Amino acid sequence: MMSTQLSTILQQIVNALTIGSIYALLAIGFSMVYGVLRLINFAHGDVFMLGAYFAFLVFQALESKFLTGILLAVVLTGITGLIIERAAFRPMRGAPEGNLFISSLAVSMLIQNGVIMILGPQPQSFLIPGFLGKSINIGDVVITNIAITIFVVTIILLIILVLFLTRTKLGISMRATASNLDACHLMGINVNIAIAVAFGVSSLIAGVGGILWATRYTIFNPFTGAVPGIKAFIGALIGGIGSLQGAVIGGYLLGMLEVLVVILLPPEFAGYRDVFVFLMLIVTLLVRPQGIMGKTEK
Amino acid sequence: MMLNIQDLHTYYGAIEVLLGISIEVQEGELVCVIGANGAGKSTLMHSIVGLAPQKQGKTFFFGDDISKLPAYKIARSGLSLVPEERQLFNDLTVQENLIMGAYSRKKSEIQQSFSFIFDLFPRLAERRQQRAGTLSGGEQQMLAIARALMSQPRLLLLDEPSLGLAPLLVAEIFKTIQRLNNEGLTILLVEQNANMALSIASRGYVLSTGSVYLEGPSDELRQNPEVQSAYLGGSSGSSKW
Repeated sequence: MMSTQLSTILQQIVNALTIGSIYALLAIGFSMVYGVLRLINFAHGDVFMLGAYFAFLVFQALESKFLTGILLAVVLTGITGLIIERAAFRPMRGAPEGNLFISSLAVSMLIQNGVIMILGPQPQSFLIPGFLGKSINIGDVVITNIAITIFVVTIILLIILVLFLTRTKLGISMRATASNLDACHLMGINVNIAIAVAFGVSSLIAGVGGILWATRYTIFNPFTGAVPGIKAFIGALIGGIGSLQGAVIGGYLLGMLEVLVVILLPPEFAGYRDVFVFLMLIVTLLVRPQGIMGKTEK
Repeated sequence: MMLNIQDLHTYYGAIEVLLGISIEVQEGELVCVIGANGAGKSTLMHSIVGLAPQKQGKTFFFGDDISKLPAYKIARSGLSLVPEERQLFNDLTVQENLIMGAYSRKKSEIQQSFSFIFDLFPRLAERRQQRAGTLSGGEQQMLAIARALMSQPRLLLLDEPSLGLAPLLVAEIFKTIQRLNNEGLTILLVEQNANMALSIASRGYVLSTGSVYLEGPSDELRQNPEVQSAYLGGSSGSSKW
């Protein structure tokens, strides 16, 4: 028989891994774009939200199976990322980083208001298959199938990403672009394509994250992406901006931090857990601004 | 004629850095461009490979006009530049840098190139999985050259390969450059170390504040008293630059 304390801790570990997985996925996409473009993509959270909305629209419009619909939604999100890169960021190639950031702010507002205009501001949701609603019990610990799915999907995606970035020419060229953009031209690399691919992959992963989020929290609205988007930034920063391993570490660390706050603080303060996330950001910037995996910029 | 640069003017904003340069490289040659700091040597290299934004004049490669091509297309047509300060992918391994060098080629064809490179630079073979940023200066220069060779260029451009290297390493690198030329690779070399450059090149151009000041066979340039006093350290033979 498990003690209540142990059960609580294990339960919270499950929660931390669940939410941490989504943060990790978001943070990776964020760091990826920063790596190739030095862009703080303010619209990343909104692309994340679009993943959920595309799933919603796909299920409304087509009578597809769940998995097919999800895959289509993810692809649509990736394509959206390519469009955003081409329209909002490529024309500003070479501009000061601040300009790119402002452009991403505009994209963020465009996406949010675009969704409001087309679908309205009310919350939406989509149906998930029956088995996802179930859970397994280990003693007092409840592990939902959703939690397992989120964790497994994240791990699989991470493995695929690592293989892509280390074993394929295109993946290595993305890392090369992040490492030394000028030298890429000399290799015969079409840098526009490499950057576009980075953006597409980043948006694809964000789309997956958004759908996982919607599965977990059921409802979403046009502003659902805002807070996770900022947390993605914080997670990527804590882990070391530009480092993909750092993004994963940062994401899971954030998940654990949120859960720790909920455990350690009296219940009245549970709603303030975001404050601690931001506090963590300030502490990182003060103590080790390059993040866990980061190197000091030259 | 492999490379034919006609009346090249290059501008950085309002400043004209190259004031009408004309240079030729025939197939199989090893040609050098020497000159002081700021003469425009690196600008010349950047202009040839398409990295200089504003320029006039024409550049022909095997008769094709490459003046307006984007840099990545020029690289793919067979010109490979080893840039000043190497510009390696520091976060990538030696192996990955070389894979990037061969980017424009089919994966199945590049195995031979790896063997060739590691035969030429055994030290790189030892450090295959090491991050490029952790290599020594000399090894980084070797990797930069190796990476440029991976694309099997028809013309190799070298921008100041001796920069920052100890004399022994410089000699080793230049021996390698000469070996590559002996084996048939056409090379255009830009160097501050005029001594080393003229010792391996058959022909040279002397660049001074953006213009070609002198040109001729290496021997002639070496005998030239102006060249001697300005670039070859007088009669002592050690380069001041």
